[in-house]
Amino acid sequence: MNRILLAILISALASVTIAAKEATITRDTTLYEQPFRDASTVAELDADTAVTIKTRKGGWYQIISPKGEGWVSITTLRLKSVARKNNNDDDASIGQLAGSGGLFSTGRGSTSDEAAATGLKGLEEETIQRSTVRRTLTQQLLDQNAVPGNQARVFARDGKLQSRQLGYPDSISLEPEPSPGEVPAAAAPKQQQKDEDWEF
Amino acid sequence: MHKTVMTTLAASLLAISTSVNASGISFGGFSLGGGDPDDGGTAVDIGELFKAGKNAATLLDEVDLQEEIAFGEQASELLLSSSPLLNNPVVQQYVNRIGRWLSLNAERQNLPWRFGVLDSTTVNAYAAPGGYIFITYGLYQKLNSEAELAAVLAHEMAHVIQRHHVRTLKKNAASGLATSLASANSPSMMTREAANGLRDIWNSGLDKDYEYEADLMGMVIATRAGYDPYGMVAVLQMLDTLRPDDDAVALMFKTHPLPSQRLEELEPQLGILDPYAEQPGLATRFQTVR
Repeated sequence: MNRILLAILISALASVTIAAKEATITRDTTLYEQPFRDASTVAELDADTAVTIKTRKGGWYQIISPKGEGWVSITTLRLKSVARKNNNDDDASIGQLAGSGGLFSTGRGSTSDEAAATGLKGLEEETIQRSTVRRTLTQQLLDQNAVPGNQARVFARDGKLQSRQLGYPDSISLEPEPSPGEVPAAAAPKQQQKDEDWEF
Repeated sequence: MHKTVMTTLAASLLAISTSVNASGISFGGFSLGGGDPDDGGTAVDIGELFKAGKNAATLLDEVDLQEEIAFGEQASELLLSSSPLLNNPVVQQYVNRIGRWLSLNAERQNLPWRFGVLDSTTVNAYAAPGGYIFITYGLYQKLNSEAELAAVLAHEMAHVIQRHHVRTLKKNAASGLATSLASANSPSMMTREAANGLRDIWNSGLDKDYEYEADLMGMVIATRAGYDPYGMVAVLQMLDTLRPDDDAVALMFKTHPLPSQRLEELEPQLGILDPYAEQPGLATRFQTVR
C-alpha cells in the first residue's frame, strides 16, 4: 500500500492536473496509448480536431478525442480561448502601471486606450519628482525580500528539485561578462553577494 | 572618469529632476562638474567628455558590471514608481526563493539578482539590466504551477544574462535610430534621451529574436534548476488563450511575438529536454502559496 502511495506521490510530482480544458489539434498527429513515442498507436488525429485535455505529464497531454482517449505531444494542440470577461477591473490595471504612484497603493490612474498604447508613462514630471525621493526605500524593499542562497537550497530540497548540468543548444552564444569595474564612491547598492554572505 | 559618468547616466535614467546650483548641475545626488567631491555625490566633469567628442553611443559601448547594476537599479526604480510592489510578503518571499534558486543554476552569479511581484492586474514581466526581475500579479495568478512561474522568471533572467536591453540601447544609439540619444550634445539631453530609450524598450519590446532566445534559455535554466522543462511551453499555451484586445494583456502583446510564434520557435528545441521530462512541476506547492 505504501509503495502505491509513494508511486502516486512521485507521479504527482511529474504531472500537472488541470481542470478539463477544451483544445484543438493544430496538425495531423498520432494519439498514443502511453506518454512516450514508442507506445502503441490509438489513432491518427486530423488537424482541427476538437479534444478535451485531462492532464499533462511532462511533454505530453492526456486527451479525450472523438477517436478515443490517449496521449499527444504537448505542442500538437492549442488551448481554446476563454470567453472574454468583464474588463472593468482590467481598465484600472493599465492605469496602475501607467503611473498611479505610491509604494503600496492600488490607486487608479488614467484608463484610456492611450494608456495601453503608450504603456509606461514613467517619465512624467510628477513621477520624476517622486521617484528621487523614493529611491532608497524601494531598494531596501527589494533587498528585504531577497533570500540567502542557503534558504533557496532548503526550499529546493523541500520541493525535490535537483540541479542538473545542462548546456544551452548550439544556437545560443553566451554574451561575455562585462568587466567588473570599480565600486563608485557614492553609496553603491548592496550587491557583493556571495551565497553565504547575506546579512539582514 | 568614464565609470562615474555611467553611474551618473544610470542615476538619471529616471530623468531625475535636475537643479542648477552655484557649484554645477546636480542629478539626484550626483554632482556634475565643479561640485564638492565630499558632498556625497561623485563629481565628474561630464562637460569635458562631451568636449572630447564622446557621446551616449560611445559611453554605452563599455558598460561595465558596476555601471550595469547602477543602471538597472535606477531602471527598476522607474518601474516601481509607476507600479508598486504587491503588499503580500508570502508571495514575495515565494517568488524570491524560486528566483534565488534559479540564480544558483544560471550564469552571472555575481549579479545582485532581485525579484519582485508588481501590484498590477496586467499580464507581464520585466527585466532590468543588473538582475532586476519583476512579474505582475496579474500574470502570476494566471499560472498553474511553480515550474511555470520558474519559466517566466528564467526567461527574464535570460534577458539579463544576454544583456539584451543594454545591447538594444547601444544599437539604437549607434545606428541613428535614437538620433536624439546619439547626437545628444549636453549632459541633461543625454540622460533624458537614455531614460527615454529604456522606457521605449519597455513600451515597444525587444527584438523578437531576443524574445525567442530568452524563451529557449529560460527553459534550459528552469530545467537545470530541476523543474519540469515544459513549464515554459505551458505558459506560452496559456498566453495563447488570452485575447489581444483584453486591456490587461495589451502591453504584453504589443511587446512580444505572438505566443503561437514563440511556440513554433521552441518546438524544434524540445528534444534536448526529453531526459528531464519527469522533473517536478510543483503545482501543489504553487497552489498553497497565497
